[in-house]
Amino acid sequence: MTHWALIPIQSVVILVAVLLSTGVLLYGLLKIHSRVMNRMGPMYAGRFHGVGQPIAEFLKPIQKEDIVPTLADAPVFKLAPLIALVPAFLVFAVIPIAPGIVGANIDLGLFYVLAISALSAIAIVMAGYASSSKFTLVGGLRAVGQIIAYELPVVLGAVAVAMLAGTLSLTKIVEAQRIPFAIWPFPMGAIAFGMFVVASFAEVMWNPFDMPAAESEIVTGPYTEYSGMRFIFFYMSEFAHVVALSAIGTLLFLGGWNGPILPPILWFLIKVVAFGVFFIWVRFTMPRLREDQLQRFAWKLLIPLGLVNVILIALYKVLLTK
Amino acid sequence: MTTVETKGYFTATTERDISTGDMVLNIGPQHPSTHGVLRVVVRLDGERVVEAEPVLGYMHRAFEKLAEQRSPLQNTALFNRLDWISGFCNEVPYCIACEKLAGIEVPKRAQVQRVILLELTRLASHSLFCGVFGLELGALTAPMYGYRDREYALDLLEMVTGQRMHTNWSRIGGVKDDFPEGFYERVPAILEYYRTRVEQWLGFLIDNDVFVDRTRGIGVLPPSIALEYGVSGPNLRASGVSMDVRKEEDYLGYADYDFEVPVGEYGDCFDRYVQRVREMWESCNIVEQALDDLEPGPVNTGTGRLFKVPPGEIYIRSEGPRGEMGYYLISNGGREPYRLKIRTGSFSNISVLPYLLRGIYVPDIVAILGSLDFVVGDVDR
Repeated sequence: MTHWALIPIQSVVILVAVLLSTGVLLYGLLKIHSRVMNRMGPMYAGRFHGVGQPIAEFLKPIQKEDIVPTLADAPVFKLAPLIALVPAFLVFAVIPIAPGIVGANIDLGLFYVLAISALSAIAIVMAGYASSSKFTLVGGLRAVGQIIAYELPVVLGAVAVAMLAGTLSLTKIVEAQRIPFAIWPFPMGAIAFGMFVVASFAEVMWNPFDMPAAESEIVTGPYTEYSGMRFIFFYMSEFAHVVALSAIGTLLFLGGWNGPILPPILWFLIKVVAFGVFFIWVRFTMPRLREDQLQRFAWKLLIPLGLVNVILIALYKVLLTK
Repeated sequence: MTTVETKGYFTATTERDISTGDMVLNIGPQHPSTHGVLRVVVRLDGERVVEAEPVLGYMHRAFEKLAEQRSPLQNTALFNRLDWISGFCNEVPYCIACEKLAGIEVPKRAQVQRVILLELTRLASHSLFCGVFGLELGALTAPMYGYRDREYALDLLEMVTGQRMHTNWSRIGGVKDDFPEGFYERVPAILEYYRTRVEQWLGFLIDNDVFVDRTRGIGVLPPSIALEYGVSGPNLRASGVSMDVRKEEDYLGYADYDFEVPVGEYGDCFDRYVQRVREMWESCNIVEQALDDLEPGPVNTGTGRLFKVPPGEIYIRSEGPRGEMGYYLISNGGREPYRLKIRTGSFSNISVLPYLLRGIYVPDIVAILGSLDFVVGDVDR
């Protein structure tokens, strides 16, 4: 148990870590997708290759007028961005980045992470409903359907790991996959990993599953009526979510901070960055699926596969490891 | 106490006075995917479109009326702005109409140069489409490639005319001037580039499963319906009708060139995309042959700016990147046309929207709008 006096310090450290990592992700996104698109990306802000761009992206909307549509349900409309942002920060509290370096080392770490990160769905529904616009309504409803469909594969993927490791503590899960590199037994681990990655894209609403905010169809979906700081809150939450999912994916499937020669924290960061680059790469390569195709994919393929995988793991644990 | 019935799925009884109904969604005139200011009013049942109606006129600039006050030289500059993606394709048919009325014989060299520039414009237009259609489906990188590819053809146009898009280069009796030094040397490399790009487009989007899922079987346009609505150009050919004005009409000596008219099979969004990619290939062939065809000689007849079009009526068709581009010109002997009717491909092509948009999902609206490849300036004029 942490001493009470340390809690504020930890909170500040986590806050800074979240802001820093979302900033780094934003810069990486701008630069990498510019590379993919055959252009330079930001080059001026911050003098050296646009390193100041994330700060500029954050500072500019602050100066903008805070617009609340006349017909909007004002309290809900104003609350939604905060509800989106807070869980994204809370997730980081339990993510260990190296042995012993963790905000709160709780035994139910995995459970907590999954539960908290699902909260942001509520914010999107609130935003979609409260804006009193048809585009936001369609976007909000799409988001609900998508999150219901894709929370399950994420959970099934995570459950597979929890069963294999025999614990819900993130630290212990990492320790369970210390050596060698082939971490989890073959078909089950790979299936769980694949499901987790695919479902992650749907959860953060990035291509090819970005229908809730599909720009060419429904403007920006639930965020259409938002402007200035509130809009940025949604984006920060999305980016924090991507970082969090990259970190969780690293902890669950890529062996966390385990690795030769380099210090553990560096290994962890390398893996998270690799995960994030993969996210960005796919986002800017794939076209968007249609909502009904996505639902079909989730309910007819991913979820049955996940359930079969869980059964396989149960059999494996009972028959082979005892 | 009200009983609510939702389209035969289920019935519910509530104490409050509520009802279900279709939602009318107004897509446009300000919307990211309407390429300008087209407005489509769709009635939705959930995400399914019950009825859709395009509303035109937000970009009406009265070009036909404006043209009545302008001399041919001023008119070509005006018609560049009809379909701004392929400006040169709009000015040539108007010049041909005036030439036909006046009985002017255009020098061979000018004809060939017109063909080269027309096909380069078509390459630019189609390569832009190939990219932007990706954006409609959410592929964020594709439009960047499309814009980049387009620049290579536009560079050549700029080299000749000094302008990338609004070229204003065609004159009555030919073109303004000869090709500049170094033009011939640059073209083959750029054609080669386009050929490799055609293959890359085939790989980048057409081999992508998500792309195929989103376009195969979406917005199927049967040939009979297409003909009824007057759809023309690549959209019509994608439906399997082999109709190309370049083959049908005798203009600019297109009959001398050896090129194929590719046709599609099903007439869905996928076919319409592939159609344009294949037409880029044919355009490369035409430019290549036209370059060999260039003979020394004058490039215009030196018709002055005070040239008066003799009285008469004429309709001229031509094949633009967006479909049949036609001018119905009535002249009473003045410099300015007495009356000019412009027939553009985009206008007829989007008239088929109410048919295509029935019973599909919202995301497919965007796919279909994109696949028809219209330009609002060309629709409203």
